[in-house]
Amino acid sequence: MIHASHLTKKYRKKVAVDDVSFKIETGKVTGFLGPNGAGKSTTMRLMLGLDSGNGTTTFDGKHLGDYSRPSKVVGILLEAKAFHPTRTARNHLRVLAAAGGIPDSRVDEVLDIVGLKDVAKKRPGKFSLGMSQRLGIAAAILGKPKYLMLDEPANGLDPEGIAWLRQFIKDYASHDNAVFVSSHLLSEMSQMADNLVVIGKGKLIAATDMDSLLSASAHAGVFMRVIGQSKLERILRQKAVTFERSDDGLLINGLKTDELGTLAYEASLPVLELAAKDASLEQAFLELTANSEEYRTHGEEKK
Amino acid sequence: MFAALKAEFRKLFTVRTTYGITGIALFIVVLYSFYIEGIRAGNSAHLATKLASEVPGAIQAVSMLAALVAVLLMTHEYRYNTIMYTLTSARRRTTVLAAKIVTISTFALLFAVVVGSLAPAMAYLGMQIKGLDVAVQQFPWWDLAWQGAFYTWALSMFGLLFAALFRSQVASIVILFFAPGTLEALAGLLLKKNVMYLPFNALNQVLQAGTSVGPDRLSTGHAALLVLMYLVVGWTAAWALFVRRDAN
Repeated sequence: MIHASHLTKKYRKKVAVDDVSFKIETGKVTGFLGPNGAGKSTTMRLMLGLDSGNGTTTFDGKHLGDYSRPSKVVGILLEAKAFHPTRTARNHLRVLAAAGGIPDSRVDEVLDIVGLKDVAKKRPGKFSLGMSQRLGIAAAILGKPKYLMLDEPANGLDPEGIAWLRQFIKDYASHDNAVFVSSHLLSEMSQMADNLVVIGKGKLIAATDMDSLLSASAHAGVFMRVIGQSKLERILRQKAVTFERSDDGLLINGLKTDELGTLAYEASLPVLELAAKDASLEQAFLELTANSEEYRTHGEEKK
Repeated sequence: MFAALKAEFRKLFTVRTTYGITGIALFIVVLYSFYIEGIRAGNSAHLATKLASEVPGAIQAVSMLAALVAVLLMTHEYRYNTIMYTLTSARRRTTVLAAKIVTISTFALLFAVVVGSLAPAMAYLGMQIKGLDVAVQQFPWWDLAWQGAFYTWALSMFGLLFAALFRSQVASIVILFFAPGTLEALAGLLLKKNVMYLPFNALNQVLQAGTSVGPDRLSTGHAALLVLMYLVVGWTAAWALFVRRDAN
């Protein structure tokens, strides 16, 4: 388990990360969400000791510096183009392998895994963003680390690459590893993350599992369609239950399906449809970060 | 430490700039020593110190290029952000810094040996091809060896130091090229004779073996000690910053 505790980073008067604490469980993919400028990358850098600040991060109870081979504990991808443009892809990985005490034979293995074997001897300066991301992923998994920390790994990948990455991350975590991944692709995140950490303006907003986050959203509820909808609406108003009309039925908040089923039975309302509806991750995310956007778009200025 | 050293050597020898810059340095030495100091040696061939004088001349001419390699080894890390891999692979940042110093020291010493050997050999070859009578040569091996090696090493350490302090490739190269000449010359206007105590002025005095020590001239030993003091102070500051600063 990774335990980040009271992470804080200040730039003069601006607080980039403000007392953020959370845990990353093994065997799971933990998504890291936040609007632009929320402090995601800074948090990751703090966790790795790349930025100076307050707070501690332990990996299975030990600081990264306590391990003799840190790159066998955590693999990182914080920036796609983090390589010398004229050092070949293979040599780039050989340098990292040497630094991590990893045998050179592993270099060819990871190049094969990420699909860059054919361009291993090419200089990565002219790689596309997608190819650069693959090289970054190869670097991250070079030491077969238990933990992966990936910052926007899907940026620049084509649809096939995104699908491959999603499956790869899920598979990697399932082998008693943990993957901590930030992404703005919420649909992708909803498909691969088990847990979520959400920050905004440097502060922790939520650290929970995906199901809890979605079901707690105001957009989550129960969809119900009955014969005699006006009677149902009257009953709900009397019980001070909030609802809204939706697709010939009602989207009801605050009551579970079994409670609504009982209520309809007692009111002699024939039920045509009754289903729990989770919010989408996008709805939940926007709701959580509504007041935490550092950079917000504005409508066209009125003339 | 061994892993960090192995990685630093791989970094140094897997980029074209190392070979390009070293190649340029050797080309300059071969061209200058063979043609100017050899073929066109003229009466200087009769001097007993002719070949010995080739060593400091060549070292002084091209050691700046070894220092440039040192600057690039460090600043490439920040320019291309590979520093995050370097620092997360090592247990301590001090190990990374020590590995870079050892790597550049080894490179600088090899560079000095090659340049210091090539220059008199090329000059001798040029004079032989031209058919000049070369006088019996005096060759103070020990002095030439340590002074040449020290000069190249110290200049490379200054290059690496500037890179560690500034982290910017442009700033480090500008300081490396302007500090020895322009900046110390300007400082000399204020310091008068005391200019000999400035780091690069002192470093130049290390190479001037045989010149008499006087009120405006340090002995080579004292000059080398003074340079070492500057390096120790500079590296202490660089180390303190390196282990604390954000890696970007």
